[in-house]
Amino acid sequence: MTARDSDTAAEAGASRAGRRLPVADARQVARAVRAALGGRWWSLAGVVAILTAGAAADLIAPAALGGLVDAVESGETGTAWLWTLGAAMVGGALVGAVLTAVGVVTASRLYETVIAQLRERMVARAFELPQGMVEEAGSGDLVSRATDDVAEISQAAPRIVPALTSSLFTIAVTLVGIAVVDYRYALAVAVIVPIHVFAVRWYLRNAPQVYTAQRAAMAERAHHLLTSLHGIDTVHAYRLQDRHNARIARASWQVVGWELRARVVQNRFFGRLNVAEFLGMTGLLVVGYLLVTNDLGTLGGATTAIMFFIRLFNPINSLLIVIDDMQSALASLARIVGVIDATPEPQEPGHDAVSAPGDADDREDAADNGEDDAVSALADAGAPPVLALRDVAFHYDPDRPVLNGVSLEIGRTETVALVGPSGAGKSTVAALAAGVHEPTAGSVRRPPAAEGRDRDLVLITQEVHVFAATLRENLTLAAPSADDEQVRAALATVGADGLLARLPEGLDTVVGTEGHSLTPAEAQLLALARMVLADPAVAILDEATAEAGSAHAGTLDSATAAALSGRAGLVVAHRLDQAKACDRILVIESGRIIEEGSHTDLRALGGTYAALWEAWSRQTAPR
Amino acid sequence: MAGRTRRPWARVPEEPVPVELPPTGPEQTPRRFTIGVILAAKRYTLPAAGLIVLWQLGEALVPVLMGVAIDRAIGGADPVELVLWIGVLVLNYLMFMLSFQFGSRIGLFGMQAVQHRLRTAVSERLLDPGGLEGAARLPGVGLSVASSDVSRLAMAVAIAVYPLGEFAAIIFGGVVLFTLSWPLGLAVFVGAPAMILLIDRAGGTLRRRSGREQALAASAAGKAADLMAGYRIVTGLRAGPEAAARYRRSSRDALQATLHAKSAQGVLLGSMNAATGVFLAAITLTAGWQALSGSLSVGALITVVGLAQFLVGPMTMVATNFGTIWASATASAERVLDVLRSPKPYERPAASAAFANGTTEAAPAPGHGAIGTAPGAGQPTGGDTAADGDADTDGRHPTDPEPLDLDPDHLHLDLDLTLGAAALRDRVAPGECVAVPVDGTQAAELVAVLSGRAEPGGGEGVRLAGRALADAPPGTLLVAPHAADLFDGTVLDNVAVGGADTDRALAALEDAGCAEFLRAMPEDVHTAVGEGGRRLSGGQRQRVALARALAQDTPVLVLHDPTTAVDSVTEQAVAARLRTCRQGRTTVLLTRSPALLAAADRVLRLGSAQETQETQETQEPQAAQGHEYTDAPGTGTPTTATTPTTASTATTAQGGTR
Repeated sequence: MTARDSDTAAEAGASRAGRRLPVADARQVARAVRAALGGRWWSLAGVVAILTAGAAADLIAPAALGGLVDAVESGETGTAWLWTLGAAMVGGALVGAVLTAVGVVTASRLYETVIAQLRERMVARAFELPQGMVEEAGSGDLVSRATDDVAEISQAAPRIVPALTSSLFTIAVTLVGIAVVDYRYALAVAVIVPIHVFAVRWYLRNAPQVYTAQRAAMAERAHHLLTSLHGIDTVHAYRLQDRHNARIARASWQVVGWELRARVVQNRFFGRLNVAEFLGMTGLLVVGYLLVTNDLGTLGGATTAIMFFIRLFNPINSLLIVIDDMQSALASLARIVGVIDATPEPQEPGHDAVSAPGDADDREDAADNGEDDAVSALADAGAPPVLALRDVAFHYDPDRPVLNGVSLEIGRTETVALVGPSGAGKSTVAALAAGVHEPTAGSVRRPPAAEGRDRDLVLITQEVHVFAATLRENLTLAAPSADDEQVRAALATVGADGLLARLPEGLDTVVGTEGHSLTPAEAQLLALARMVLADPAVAILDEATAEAGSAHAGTLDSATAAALSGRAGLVVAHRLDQAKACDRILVIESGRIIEEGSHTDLRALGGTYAALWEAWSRQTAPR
Repeated sequence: MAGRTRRPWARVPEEPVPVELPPTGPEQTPRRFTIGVILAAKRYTLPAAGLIVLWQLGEALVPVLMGVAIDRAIGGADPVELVLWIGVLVLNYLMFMLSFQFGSRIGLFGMQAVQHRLRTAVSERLLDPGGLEGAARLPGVGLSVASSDVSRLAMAVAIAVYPLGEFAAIIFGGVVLFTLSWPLGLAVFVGAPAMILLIDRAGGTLRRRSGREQALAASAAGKAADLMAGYRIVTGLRAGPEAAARYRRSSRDALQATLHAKSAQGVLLGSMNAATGVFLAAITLTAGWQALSGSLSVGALITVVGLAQFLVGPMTMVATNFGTIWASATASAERVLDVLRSPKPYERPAASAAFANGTTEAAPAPGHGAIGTAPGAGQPTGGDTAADGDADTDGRHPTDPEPLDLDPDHLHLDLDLTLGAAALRDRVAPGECVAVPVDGTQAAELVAVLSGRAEPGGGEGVRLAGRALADAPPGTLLVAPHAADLFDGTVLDNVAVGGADTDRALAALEDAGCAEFLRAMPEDVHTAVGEGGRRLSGGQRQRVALARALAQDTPVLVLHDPTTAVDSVTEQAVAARLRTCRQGRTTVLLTRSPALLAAADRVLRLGSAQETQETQETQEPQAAQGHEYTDAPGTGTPTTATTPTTASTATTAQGGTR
């Protein structure tokens, strides 16, 4: 059981990672960050200047201590010198505090703005990508980039950037300070740099894989929790709670293991840094001893150098420990920029009808095909079709063709139904017509773009989602400029005015996950109302009324009819009465159109459809 | 393996270590619960705290040792002293490095063990068949309690480890300073608490601001997730630009909140640095004045300043971390407690306890398990012990007292309940396949009653073989949910659950009309269904879910609209096979699908609630009538002459109630 579970998980993981969306390389990331920075170069320069000055001011206090030590040693100076040193220390501390605070705030404003821009561009780009590309990668990939990776960066940046900015400047300025006291102290410190380099390289060799595994284990844990919670009724009905609890517990304990391994790696890294600290201190003591005993330096100088060095511990640790944060943030950034920079694979020109040579030729060809394949020509005599598929074939795997030689045309106000058993290819025809996938052979002509739109076509699938927003916002998603009048009219068209009346705050009622919950049938009506608002030339409904249950079929059928009136419609029909209501019916079997015609024609034909209808009407006759 | 468990710092034990969680009774407050959580893993946190104290002391010793070394070795120009103090420095480093290595690991392990225990407790409660009340019923809320809140609460365990070390360092530093010069020691003992308090207070404002910032950032993230969840709707509508614009608006709001919080953070950082800077300057000046007047050696001066500089670290750590961790832990503790002690609306406590213990009591010992759910209360709650739940789900309990007569020939199902304005009053004979043409609301109500999640609005409810539903042992009656939720694993993994073995699962897949599409899949029944079954189409998922229900082979099976996403051709085939494969066992179909109505032996008639009241006395003949129906088509051919007639009358009646 355990073995089998992990096997399937591994399998799923392997195939899930198959055709992911692209991940950006370092150059692309740098370019995207530069673009997001926009014209803020001067504020970047300002941040650098402020932080350098702040770090320098912070050095006044330890330097003053050295002066104090020398004063005590010489035994000559009086309290006036003490007050001068005191004033310098307090002044330095205050100026340093203010400058560092201003620097960190300015830096965080800068990076927060950059992050906001990147996430906005990423989400915008996500909706521009060809749907087929996203679907192939699994929409989960996109969702996780838009949520997890954005969160990763938003959370990592406040740790990384302050560490980077203030630590980096403190370290640099302090090293300069040590060298100012005596260059030989700086040499003693420089000797330990290779240890830091070695420690960081060791860390980067070991840490990322542990962190990756840790994050994967966390994702696995969240996944088991979430699927169990979403399917809670099923879990209870089949008494699966123990099995699911065991899965969750197993995933949770895996996380514990990885957390601990990550900590061990971190601690060993700190251990190495401690060794460097120790060696640095020893070196400074030895150099100080040699300098002072040989009268080349003062005791105060040695003190200052050592005080400077002790002040380096924290900045060095906090800088080096964010290196892995930085790495994982960069990985997330690469995944985000990957989406921003994603370019769809070039499509062969013949596929897109907009660039196809001549419409007239196309139509002739289509007619020829019609004769050859016993597919009748367009019913809408004269008027050009708004949607045309010609000799379309499609497959994911060449050995398993999904569609073969499918041709269909839909006139301006015509509704066409696709009928056939599950797996015959109905949904694939809908997806090709809508442009989700491009055909492997043949061509698809879709309606030309109207003003400001991609294509004048809308696809509604069986997936219903109510957005967590007001009812109005849910609807105006399809038509941002629509006013309340139009929104109400759209609801009335699909017969959802009753729903509107029932909601406590009308159009302002918040619906979706955290608001008023809608039944599947209501959600379907909402989807149809959105389509009415979008007012496309062609509407493709793929099992659009499937999930609501047979009880609401009547309501939804009339809503669908109302929503489709006056436009071209392609309906993947579940129930034959849906098909009967359409102007024309295509029967698909094993990826081919085997019959085409009106309900009456096809019944008269006495073929597959007639047989289907026979069986169907026998059931429904009592109605 | 036992050895591993005892040395968690060497290797992670394979099995979770036991952790005793604080009680969750009604008197428990979030604060006390948090304290209980902090103390839950004393086995690990005590040694860890000891080691962390050693580590901090060692760190505090570094400036002291440096002061002495500068004074004696450099100031005194003595090479022996130099070697000696470098040697002491080595020992100190070795001591505190090792202390840190192991203290930190053991402490983390304790924290993680507590976190794991909390998480399994929360997830067990979330999945408990007794159900939940309150917001945690929403999957998103449940997930956030089980992940974020549990993590934040478990973070409190660190309070038992790190602040102890930090306090130790501060006290040690104070003592050292005191011995060198009492005014300086006093300055630390008075100054440190004052500063800690000051920073904590100033930090309070920041915490509130950052709470708001996080809420807004979370709402932007939620917006992105929500828009992405509706990805296909957005792209289908070509509404990408509008969706992006909406995301941008909420992203900008989040940015504004973040920037506000950052300014507050800057003010806090600046004042903290200024305060510590002035504090350090004051100490340095005092020590310098004493050194100038000869009452303090140069080495002592360096020690004083070095130590004071070091102490700033632990002081700010205590001040910034303690309050933050405590505040977020208690806030999370409240939400965790809400889940852990949420009432169980669907539970029948006495019954499930008796059932789980297998005690022989005079009263029928049943459980909500009867309706297809295992008695969770009886399971050991330790996630650590739940190695494989399959063993527990095999159905009938051997020591069930006065067992229900499970002979399928005697399992008649009496329905007497009102569903809104309609009433359902009928007897389903053993082995009968009936359809109940209910609408969405009625179906939801009926499903809730049949699965024991609700009491009927009126009528006597549902009785199986003359007994309350709760008396039926698990595996007698299955109410298959309408939602076709599939879980990770292969198609077969999903169907061969509970009492179903592979053979039965394969047969059920055939019966549910899955064979055709499974053959087209790369690995047939061993094809992984993907996350949430998303590699299958809606219709395919629904048929796999139907197969899962059929494979259980329960004496009574209730299916709620099992074929809505299936095309009519396949639906017809499935309906026909359903009849044969449920032969001899009772099947109730809640549906208005013509194909399923036609396949049923009989379509139950929904009367009006009032009418049922009036016919209360004539119950006997009605029940007898139910038998009459079974006798005719009971032997199985789905399309006997009587069926369409019954279907016809039923749908007419149903038309009337519309």
